[in-house]
Amino acid sequence: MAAWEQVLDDLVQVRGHALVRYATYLTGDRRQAEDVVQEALVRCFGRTRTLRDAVAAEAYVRRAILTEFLDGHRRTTRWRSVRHLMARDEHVESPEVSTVERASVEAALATLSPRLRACVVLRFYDDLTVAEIARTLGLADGTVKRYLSDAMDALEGVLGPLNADRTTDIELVNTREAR
Amino acid sequence: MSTDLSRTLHATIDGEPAGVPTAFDMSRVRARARRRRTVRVATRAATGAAAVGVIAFAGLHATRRDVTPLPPAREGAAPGTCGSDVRAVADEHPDDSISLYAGVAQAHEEFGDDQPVPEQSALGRVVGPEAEITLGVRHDGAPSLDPVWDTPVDLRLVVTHDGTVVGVVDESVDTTSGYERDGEVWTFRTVRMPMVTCDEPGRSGGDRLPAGEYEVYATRGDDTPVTALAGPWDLTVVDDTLVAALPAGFPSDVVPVIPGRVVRAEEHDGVWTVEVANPADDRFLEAARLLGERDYLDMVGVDKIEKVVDGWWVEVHNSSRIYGDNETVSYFVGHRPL
Repeated sequence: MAAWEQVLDDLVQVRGHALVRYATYLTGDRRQAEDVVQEALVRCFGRTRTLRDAVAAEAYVRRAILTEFLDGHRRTTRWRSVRHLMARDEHVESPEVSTVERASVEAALATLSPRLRACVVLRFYDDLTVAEIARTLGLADGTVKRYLSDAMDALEGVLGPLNADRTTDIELVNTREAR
Repeated sequence: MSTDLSRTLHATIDGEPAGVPTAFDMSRVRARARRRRTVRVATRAATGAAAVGVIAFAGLHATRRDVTPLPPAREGAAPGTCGSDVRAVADEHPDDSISLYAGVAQAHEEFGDDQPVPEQSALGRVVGPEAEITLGVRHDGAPSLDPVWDTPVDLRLVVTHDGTVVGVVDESVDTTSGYERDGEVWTFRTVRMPMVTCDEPGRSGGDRLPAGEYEVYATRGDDTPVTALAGPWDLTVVDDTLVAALPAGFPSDVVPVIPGRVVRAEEHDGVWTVEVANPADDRFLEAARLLGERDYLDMVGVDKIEKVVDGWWVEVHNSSRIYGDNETVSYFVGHRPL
């Protein structure tokens, strides 16, 4: 087996479900997320770039997942070789986060537009700064700040108070009040 | 009780169990990745290939084209020269003042709303002899766009396969757009990068790169060895072999069609309809180039070509229909206005 295939197998074995969850938060749809992740794996591992190990590879794959999601290409090819009618939720109960809270966040994120969802995930999972998000998504810093602020307002409307780090770099002057 | 967004996202994503998701088809993922990594490399083939257009449609025939080997790796070659390895320089001395983009990317400066060009990791899939690429350069220390707009910038593009330099292109092109944002000044220019091999010691290059996956790096100036590199950006060279014959009677000698898979070919009332599927992003540009309409397309930006060639009325459309993963170009050819 080639070295890259071993890295691919290791990555999917260890982080396959995590990548699908990441993609589900972006796409809002688990089946679409499964397609997006597999397409991202093909895209990353179909290159001759040397990916040393699964940890190094995951960063590239997550970026490819984001690219696939934002490109919004419609694929007619479906990856599922076996349709599972049973529920596929294989969550491990985390003592720190309740099942209710987890499900609520996922449902709340699904109510956001794709751009807002992407901003939230990049900010609160990938821990990117506003400037880094802006560069990744091709937006102005001010636009990202506005998106994050709008997203937080929308999420709070669904989830109640958020203990999210509304740091100074995403706080906006409320221009709506000024009009 | 408030919801901790960051903690919840991390817990839910990172708390997922190990194991391959049951919906994944890993055999297919591996097979597709393996195919993408394969570069068609062959010795120069003998001539005498079967001609397309005189063979019945029911058969599948490939036009044989000379396929040139890639320049081999040269141990000890100065980084940035043909056959050298540039990965160490790129890893140790990355240059973030250069960005590449597929196609024509414009920074929008209308109405005072400076919008940066979105970052890309891939330059797309190319079937034509050149890849249209936009080069972005950051001018550190420049107070604004004005003093740098007319300053020529020399850039070298290095095409690699598996880390080995197989193509080298030097560009010095005028600025076509730019923006200022957060103290940064960027200018952009678009080039058509030839998809050809570089000159090796004792052997001239200039042959089309074989189909396969490549990575492109960029550096300032044209000195070697290079001391810093931006990139890599992924680039796919698409197979330019026409793999299914056109039906007898189709005027392929005056209406050359793009490489790819013929998914539809029929004649009705003297009008031919031929549809060719190709995964390349520049399939329509290549259709225009083959008909001599590439520059016209650049000027007017249309998505339909109409012309008369040797008494044949020709219409070519960039279709949005999808066959598998590939979109198509449609040809309508007849002896009267269509």
